[in-house]
Amino acid sequence: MSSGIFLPREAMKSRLASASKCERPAYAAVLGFAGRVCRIETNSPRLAELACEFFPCPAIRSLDAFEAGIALEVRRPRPAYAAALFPVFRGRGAFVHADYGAHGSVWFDLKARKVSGFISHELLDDTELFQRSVLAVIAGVLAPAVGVVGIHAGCVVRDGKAVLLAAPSGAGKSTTTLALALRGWSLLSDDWTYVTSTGSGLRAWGMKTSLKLLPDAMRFFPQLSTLTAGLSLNGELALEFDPWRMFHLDRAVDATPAAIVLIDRNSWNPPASGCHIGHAGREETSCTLLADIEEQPAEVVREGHSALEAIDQLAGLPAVHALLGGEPASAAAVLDEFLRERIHD
Amino acid sequence: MTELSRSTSPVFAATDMLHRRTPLPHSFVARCGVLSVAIRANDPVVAQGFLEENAEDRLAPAISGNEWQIEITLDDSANSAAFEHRTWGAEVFAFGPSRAIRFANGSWFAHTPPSADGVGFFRLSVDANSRLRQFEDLLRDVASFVLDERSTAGPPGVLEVVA
Repeated sequence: MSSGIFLPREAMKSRLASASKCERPAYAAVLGFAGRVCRIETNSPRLAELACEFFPCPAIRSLDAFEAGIALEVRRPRPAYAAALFPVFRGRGAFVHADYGAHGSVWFDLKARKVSGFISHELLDDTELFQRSVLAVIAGVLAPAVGVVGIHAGCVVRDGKAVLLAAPSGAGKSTTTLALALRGWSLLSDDWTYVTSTGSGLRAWGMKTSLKLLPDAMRFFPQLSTLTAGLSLNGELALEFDPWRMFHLDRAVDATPAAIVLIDRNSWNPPASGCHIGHAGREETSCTLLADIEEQPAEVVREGHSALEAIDQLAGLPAVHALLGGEPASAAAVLDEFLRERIHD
Repeated sequence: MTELSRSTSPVFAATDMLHRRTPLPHSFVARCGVLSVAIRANDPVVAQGFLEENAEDRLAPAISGNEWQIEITLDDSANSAAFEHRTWGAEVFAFGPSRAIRFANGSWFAHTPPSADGVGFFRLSVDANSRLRQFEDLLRDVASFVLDERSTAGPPGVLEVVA
């Protein structure tokens, strides 16, 4: 791609005509996200391979079952006027643009459930960044359009039962999630848990993304001292790492939601150590979960899959609020014991 | 990202990554060639300046047939000549039934033909005079893009306009 001046109208028309003669993508694959089936087309076998690893495909009943179409081309970067890999996201109505500067653009039409764009070879070659900033973003943005509700909550799993850990940003979701995972719970998500509702009930889903903790977590998890904090996708300075490589943690892909924990670390009178657990009512649970729900335009939300309906069902689960104090390990020990009993009940 | 996040309330910063919740409280009508467009935006300087420089548009119907929702983000680097969106060209994309144009400074506009309703994101200068001029230039180029799209049915796949 070369630089030059902006094209006048007539030139733009002729360029559109010639651009339509581009070669068709050579590789296609079927992807699974939270039980939904999507199709991806690309000119890159590596991109298709990574997408299949990140979104393992369930068995599909028919080719009519695709719920979204994705077309991603890999090509040379744009000129060096905007070299940053750090993406800028903007959305309005049914449209969303993930702008990777020199390294690509991904466009979403959520009404049509279509995703299209390009990324650079450099972005694709950084596998962890590609998964976190492209594939996970595609899933998160597409979610409401394919009947999946994103809940701002961590999630741990034991015996196929999921416990969602909800809290505002910075209140300790990820830290508590990690501390529980270190006590034998499987890690499903530390930040966003995806929930679907079917005839057989609710289902919680996670993605194999990095775990993200604020830099002060090094105080509690010395293993993290080898990491350097960097800017995360929402602009926070954070430590991001693969939980398997760092802690050999088990990961769960999906589970049945069984309980909700509302985490609180900002109260005036926290325990010096451990965790105070109290009953949380349906309304409190519902309000907490709703606080971070992004209101979606009506034309984007798939009929019968609104976030409000999913949250109403989640709020009907057994729920507690947990006032944390001291080190995460001591709070997790109390919470672990309580949850084991609660889940087996 | 941090520079570009100014217009969003910090309350939403952690979860409103798409800036969908940025309010667009300023409305005015712009005539872009044959298009009459009701614009909703979030920058009072642009809205006021646009109305002052285009006094006749105050008399235009309050409700136009087309609406463009445009989030404006101010950027220090937008003062430099290199930032000018026309310097580097633009790209046009097709995704499903929709089309988008991305200018080299990161500004963009998207819509679904044949409707001229659309949404956009403009990166403009912090300097008020430059900002207004950049806004008007972008509006003009978006209008050209929308009119082109209405007159030519675009093919599927990713399209690219290379300057």
